[in-house]
Amino acid sequence: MKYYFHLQYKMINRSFIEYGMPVILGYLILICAFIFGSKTLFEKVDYAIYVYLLSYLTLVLKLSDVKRNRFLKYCFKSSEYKKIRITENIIIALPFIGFLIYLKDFQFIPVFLIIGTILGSINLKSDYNVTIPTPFSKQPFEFTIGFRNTFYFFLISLFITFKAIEVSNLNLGIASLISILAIVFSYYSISEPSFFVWNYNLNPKMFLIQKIKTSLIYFSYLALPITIVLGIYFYENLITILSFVFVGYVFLITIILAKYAAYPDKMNIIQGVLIAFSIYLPPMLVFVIPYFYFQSLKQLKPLLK
Amino acid sequence: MIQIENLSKKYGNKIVLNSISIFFENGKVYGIVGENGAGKTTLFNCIAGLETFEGEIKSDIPKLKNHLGLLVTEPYFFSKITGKEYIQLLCNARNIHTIDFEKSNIFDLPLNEYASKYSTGMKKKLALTAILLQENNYFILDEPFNGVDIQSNIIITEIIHKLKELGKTVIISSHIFSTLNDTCDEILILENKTISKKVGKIEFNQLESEMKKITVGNKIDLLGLK
Repeated sequence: MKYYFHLQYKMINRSFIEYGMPVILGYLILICAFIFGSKTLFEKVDYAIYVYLLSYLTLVLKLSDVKRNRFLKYCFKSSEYKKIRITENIIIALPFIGFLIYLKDFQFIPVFLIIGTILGSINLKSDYNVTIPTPFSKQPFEFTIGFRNTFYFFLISLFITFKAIEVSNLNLGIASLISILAIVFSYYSISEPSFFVWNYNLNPKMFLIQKIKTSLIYFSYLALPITIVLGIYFYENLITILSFVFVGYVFLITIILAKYAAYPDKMNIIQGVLIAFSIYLPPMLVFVIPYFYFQSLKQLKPLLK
Repeated sequence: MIQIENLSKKYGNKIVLNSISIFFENGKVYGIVGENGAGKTTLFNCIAGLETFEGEIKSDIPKLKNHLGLLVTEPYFFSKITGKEYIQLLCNARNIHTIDFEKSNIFDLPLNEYASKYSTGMKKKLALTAILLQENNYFILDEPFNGVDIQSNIIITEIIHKLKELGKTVIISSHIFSTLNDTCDEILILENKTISKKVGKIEFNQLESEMKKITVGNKIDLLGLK
C-alpha cells in the first residue's frame, strides 16, 4: 500500500516533468491556484460551498473509474483495496477541508469525509450501456467525447443562467457563458494519437481550418441558446454579452492552435504561459495566435504532407 | 503499385530496418512474416508515412497516405465514442460524409454502443470496417485475424479476395500461417532487419515446413513433457 502511494507521487511528478515544469514549481503553482481559486469562489459566488462539493465529487468520481479499480482489485487484497480507495479519497479532500478550516466553516467538513468514505467503499457498476446522445455526431471527436464527459456541467450552466435572470444579475449570466467556454477548452487538453491526424487527406493549413470551423459551429450550439436568452433579458447590455461571446470564439481558436503547436505532445509550459498572459492581456493574442498558427503548421507537416 | 527503394530506419544508433527494397503490384496480396520485434509494424508505419525514414517510397497514385487504409495491430478507441462515430470520424477524414451504416455493418457490430467497450475482436472488425469504407486503393493490415472469431476470419479472408479482385494492393502481416496461405500471392520474410526471402504461392507449403523446422527444432522435446 505504501508503495502504491509512492508510485502515485512519482506519477504526479512525472506529469509535471512532462509538462516541462520543475516538480517543486508544479506543486507550488497547484497550491497557489487552489488557494486563489477557492478564495475567489467564496468571495464572488453565493453558493460557493456547493461548487466546492461538486468539484470534490468530480475528482473523486474520476478515481472511481471502473477499469482502474478493477486493476487495483487484481493487485491488492480486498481489505487493502478498500483502505487504498478511502485513503486516496480522503487525501483529495484534505485541501478542500484545509481551506474550510481557514474560513472557520466547519459545517460541511463531515460531508467531504462521508462522500470520500462512501465512494471509496462502493464499486460503481461497469455494465451500464447508455449512450448519451449529442448533437455533434456529424463531426465526431472533441465535442462528442467532451460533451458526454461533461454534460452535467451544462445543466449547472443553464441553472446559473436561470438564476441570473431570476435575480437580474448579468454578471452571473456572463459567468455561465464563461463556464461553458472553460468546459469547451478542456476538450482540447488531450492529444489524439497521430493515426487520427494522419488519416486526414488535408494539408496542415486546411486541417486547422476544418478543426477551427467545426469547433466554432459546435461551440455556438452550446453558447448561443444562453447568449440569446441573456440578450433578451439584458437587452440594454447586448453589446457586452456579444463581446464576451466574440472573445470566447477568439480564445477557442487560440486553444486549438496551441494544442497543435505542441502536437503530438500535450500542451506544455510555453503554450500554458502564453495563454495565461493572453487571458490577462487579450491584445497579446495579435502575436500569440500567429505564433501558434505557424508552430502548428510545423508540427503537423510530418503527418499531413 | 507501391515501390520501396532502399528503405532504412534507425532509432538513435539502433538500425531497425536496413536497405529494404520491395515492389508491391496492384491486384496482389502480400504477406510479411517475421518474428515479434522483427520490424513489421515499423515497416508499415514507414510506408504509411507515420515514421520518418531514409530511402524512397513511390506509388502510382500521388500522396500514397491519402489512399491508404491502415489497420493497426491494436486500434485505439477514444472513450465515449460509438462505433458509428468512429467510422464517421475516419471517413470524414477522407472527405466521405455519406455512409450507409446498416448496409456496411457486415460484422453485425453494435454501432450505437461505445467502441471502447467492444471486445478485442469487435474492435478489430470495427477498425477494418472503417478503413474499408474510406474507399482506399492500398491496404496495410497488421494482424487482421488476431483475436477475431472463426466466422469473421472467413469474412475477412473473403474481403481480402475481393480487394484483390478490385485491383487493390494489400499488405498483410499475420502470425497464423494458414491465413496467409489462404490470402497471399507472395510472402516476404523480414529477418535481420531486411527482406531476406520472397516466396511465391507454389512454395508456401515448403516455406511452412522450413519455418516449422527452424522455429520448433527440438525445443518441444527439451520441455520434457510427461
